[in-house]
Amino acid sequence: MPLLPATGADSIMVTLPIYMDSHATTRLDPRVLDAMLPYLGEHFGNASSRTHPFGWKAAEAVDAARHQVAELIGARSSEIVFTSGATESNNLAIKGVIAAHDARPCHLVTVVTEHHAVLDPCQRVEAEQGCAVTRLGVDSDGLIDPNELTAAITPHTALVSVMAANNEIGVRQPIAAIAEAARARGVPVHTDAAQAVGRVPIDVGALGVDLASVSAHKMHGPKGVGALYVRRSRRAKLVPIIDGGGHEYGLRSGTLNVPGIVGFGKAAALASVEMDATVRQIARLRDRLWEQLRSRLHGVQLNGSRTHRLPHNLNVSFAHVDGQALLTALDDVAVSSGSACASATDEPSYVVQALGATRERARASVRFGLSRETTEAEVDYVADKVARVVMRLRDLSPLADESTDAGCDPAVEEWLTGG
Amino acid sequence: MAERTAAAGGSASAERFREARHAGSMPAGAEDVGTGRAEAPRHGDVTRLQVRVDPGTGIIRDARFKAFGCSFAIASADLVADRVTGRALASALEVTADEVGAALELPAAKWYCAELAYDALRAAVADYETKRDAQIET
Repeated sequence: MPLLPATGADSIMVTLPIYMDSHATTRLDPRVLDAMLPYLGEHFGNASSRTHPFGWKAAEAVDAARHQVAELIGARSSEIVFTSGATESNNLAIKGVIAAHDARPCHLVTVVTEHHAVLDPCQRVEAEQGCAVTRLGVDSDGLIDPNELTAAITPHTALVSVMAANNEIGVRQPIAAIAEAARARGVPVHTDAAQAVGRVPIDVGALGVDLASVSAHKMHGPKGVGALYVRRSRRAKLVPIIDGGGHEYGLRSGTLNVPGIVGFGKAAALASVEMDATVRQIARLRDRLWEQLRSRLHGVQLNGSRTHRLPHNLNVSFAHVDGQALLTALDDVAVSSGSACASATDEPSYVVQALGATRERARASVRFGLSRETTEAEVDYVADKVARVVMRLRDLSPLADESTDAGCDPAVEEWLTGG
Repeated sequence: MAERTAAAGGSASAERFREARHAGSMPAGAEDVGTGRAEAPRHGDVTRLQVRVDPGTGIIRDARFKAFGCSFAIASADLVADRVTGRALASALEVTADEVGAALELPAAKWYCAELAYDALRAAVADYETKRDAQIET
């Protein structure tokens, strides 16, 4: 028997394949592309060429984009440093602050569930600059305890770096409380907001952070461009990691990616206007997907907090199913998995394991990333297909066989809770 | 989630996985059925393989598997089941893990999936032989 016999669901009107992996990237909005095209063509000038109209045209466009990006996050234009993306922004924030911190000993605080673009720079400053690193754990919801953070801060702490929203489980950390605690001790705060900006309202002033990493392609902008927000008042001391022509207030040298920056600006402007409406729509569809999966399958568990969560994220573990097998069977649906087999590492998702979950639950995790383009028909198609594939894979699993007592399945519950 | 290096995509193993034809089980207690189970503790994968042997001719008439693991583990078990069906029990173990891994174009990191399927087959053959020999003795 083929893995997945065709049924009625295939007749639902959707365009295949369906993209539900918006934490990886999002589709470039056609309006963004339109804004970019002239800067890939006739307006090819270098924004640093101050002496002729070609340069002026480029500089004008960059200024406008800087304003658009600043407006989206409640910053001033002069606080936006354009980079190649959130990974570079994270590197600049962490390495830049630690390099500027003359005093030793030196210490920084981060969280175990951070993206590798934060964890790896932290590891490097630890190994190469002798900066001690505290990696805070999270509770079963994926949240850190701000009290624990306060307790971790020492007189030597140079930086606190906590992500605004997690890339796997979509959990939103209490950044305002974290920043308040750190600021009370005079410690600057960085947040990797790549997954949050443009998808949910983020105001750097309200959050009280000093540094924030932003990415264009997570909000329907182009790849290869991002920004680091750098607070002007009581500015954190920051040393550039890329030296050269002194662009971007001397913090990031290199000829500006004008078309990319223009696209970033346009994507930010669209998000500023359209976010409120799309957030509710996306959350409703995400909840619909969750309800459908739960009603059709037993042994389904949500990874991460239900409430402190990005509206477009759903991360679910399906008992007795390997995530990579599920992804391979879902040949016309793009989602991601925490299974080691689906990644470059040999270990299933460290983020899901940080919740206190077993390796089995981590390898069974599947991440759905909706976007403003997701339709109800797509959600219904995905829910139906995932449910059928999960049932089929459980049918194939000797574990389900060995542990199931026809119908009622306490072993599955035990498996999921890590008992 | 890091980039996929071991993606199955449209590969031979993905094809085999999606079109798996030997999934299922047979009564383990039956006299003509041999059941084998193998685990890869480091990865948590489990493969069970069963063979039904014609006692007169010694030919494997049917082979069924159940597997918990990634698409590579499932594809490997299906291919092993496919290749031993119709073979004489005596030559069943000539279907090697290397042959399965090569046929499915498994990435090096997934070679253990083929070995897992082979280990399950070896256990299934041994189980059948034990049953058969016990019958002869009685």
